Amino acid sequence: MQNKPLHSRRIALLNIRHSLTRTVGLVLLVAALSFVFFGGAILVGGLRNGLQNMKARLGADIMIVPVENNTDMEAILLKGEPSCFYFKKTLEDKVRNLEGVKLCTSQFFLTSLDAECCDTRVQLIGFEPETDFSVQPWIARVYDKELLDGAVIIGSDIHTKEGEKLKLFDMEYEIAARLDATGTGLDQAVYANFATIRQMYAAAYEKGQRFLEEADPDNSISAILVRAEDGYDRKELIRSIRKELGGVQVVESQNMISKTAENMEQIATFLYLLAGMFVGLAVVTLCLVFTLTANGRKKEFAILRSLGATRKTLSGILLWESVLIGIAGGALGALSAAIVVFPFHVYIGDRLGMPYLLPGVGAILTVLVLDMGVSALIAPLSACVAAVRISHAETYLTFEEGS
Amino acid sequence: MTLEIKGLGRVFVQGDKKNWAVQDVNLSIPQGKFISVIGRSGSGKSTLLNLIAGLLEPTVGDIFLNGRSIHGLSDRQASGIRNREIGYIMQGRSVLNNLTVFDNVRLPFYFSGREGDVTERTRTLLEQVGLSRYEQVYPAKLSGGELRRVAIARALVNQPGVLLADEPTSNLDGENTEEIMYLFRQIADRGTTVLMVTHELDTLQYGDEVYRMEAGRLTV
Ligand SMILES: Nc1ncnc2c1ncn2[C@@H]1O[C@H](COP(=O)(O)OP(=O)(O)O)[C@@H](O)[C@H]1O
Ligand SMILES: [Mg+2]
Repeated sequence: MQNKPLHSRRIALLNIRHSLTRTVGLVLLVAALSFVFFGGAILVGGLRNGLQNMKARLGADIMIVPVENNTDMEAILLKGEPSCFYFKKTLEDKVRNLEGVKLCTSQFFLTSLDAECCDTRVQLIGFEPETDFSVQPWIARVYDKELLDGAVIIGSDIHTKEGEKLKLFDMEYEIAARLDATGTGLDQAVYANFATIRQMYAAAYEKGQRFLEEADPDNSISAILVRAEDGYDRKELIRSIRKELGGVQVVESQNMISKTAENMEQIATFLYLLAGMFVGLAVVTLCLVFTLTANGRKKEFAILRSLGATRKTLSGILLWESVLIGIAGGALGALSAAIVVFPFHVYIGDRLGMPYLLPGVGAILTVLVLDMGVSALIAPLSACVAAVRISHAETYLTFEEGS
Repeated sequence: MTLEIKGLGRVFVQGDKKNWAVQDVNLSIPQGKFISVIGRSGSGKSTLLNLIAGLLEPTVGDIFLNGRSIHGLSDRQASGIRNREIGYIMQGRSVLNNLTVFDNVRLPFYFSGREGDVTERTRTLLEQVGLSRYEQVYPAKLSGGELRRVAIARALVNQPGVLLADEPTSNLDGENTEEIMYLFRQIADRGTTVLMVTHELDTLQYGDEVYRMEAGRLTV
């Protein structure tokens, strides 16, 4: 070690190592900035990603659910809170015959008390294979055969071992495939056709599980999904649905998405403002600290000058110190943000109540590179004032008069 | 290396007051001579050494090393001369706290822009000043006398022609003072020109010639 050349970078490293208190303070400051920057960017990226997926998944233009269950529908989709609610199956045909309806299908929701796979309750979604247009298109992406009776397709957050069966209400069901993540509550759902759902319902009934309403899957459904004719006025269609069916809630999925998108933009704006404020605050603080500490280090710089260091070398040492502090702070901040954001991303998505899906590795790496760049640059930028001052002042020669 | 000073003066302007810290100084030191300058605090001793080291620009006059003027040089050139031709022991505590004794001593070599390694030379110098066992020690652990000897070894690492020493024995006891004066005598005898400024009378016996500094002026 003692034979390593003592160039500016090495001197800077020895300086910051030896002045630990100052270094730790500065590193923590940059780390806070990097934490907000990295964590915020991943969060916003996750929300954007989730929204995009949700758009792709919601095949229906209009969803009809029992009255006052609108919030429950959003809860299922956005927060992954299982619920069940029902109305009569005959309503489906009434909707199908309305003008402007291109496709119409129904779904049946069931909530399991507990399943071996999961810590929490599971949302079971039954669909009608003949009429379904909302679930099967993306099941087809991961499973190219018809889903048989007794088989299920599971969301990405349902954890089972390879080749294992899903055990629900004491019965085992074949897992045909696992869906890609969406970042929505649908990741915690299990899909099956109506026949399978009927089987599950019977088993649940035997186990003594009671539901909010007495509902029998032969005559009841939980939601009617509608795709409108191209070009048909949706508002008009919603009006006629309301007229035809009493006691239902009509949800326009476009509305739900744009509401979510609006919320998301608000969060993003808030995070950008926060990051901007942090950058400003960090620059001012770093600038002050570098200038003030450089004042206290006049003697040190005078000694370096007396040994033949050029003004440029002095600035170089100071700038290297700040670059090293910037890199250390940037890495520390990104690491702590990663420790919070990655393991808890499901929880964060739940708390946000919005579709949240981690960005891909490429996007994360891009954010990391940007974050490290900003962190490594912000410190030397702030040290510039101090560097220029120490390289121009001659006043540092008046220190400590002889006794 | 010879050191010649001609009509040297430096004024510090504070508000509308002009303070000639060094005024009309003329001095010529042949190679290998050990010259002492004695003067009170505030008489301009440090300013004189800073001018010779090229850390301050003279207001008037010029300084010649081996007949070559050091006036009007760029920072790079002036720093180069200060680094290679001049060993400067600044007033007071002048070692760098963040570097070990070993690194302090070899540091000037890395400002010279030369390639290579000075491990051997650093070891030899530390041995000469009696600090071999403190190589990897940080300055905080050293006594005042030891710190001065680190600064002396460091001033010699680039084998300068001129050694400038600003009160190198202040705050030291008699024994330490004697050791350091003996070192300076040896350095001069090996051909390095030594210019020491001091306010301590008991150091004067070691030098070849003594000058007196008063209010910026140099007298015999
Ligand atoms: N950088 C400076 N700016 C203004 N005045 C200075 C500066 N350096 C020294 N002086 C003044 O010059 C005079 C000589 O100072 P100095 O050379 O430090 O004396 P000494 O080393 O003999 O104690 C003093 O009056 C001091 O206040
Ligand atoms: Mg002085």
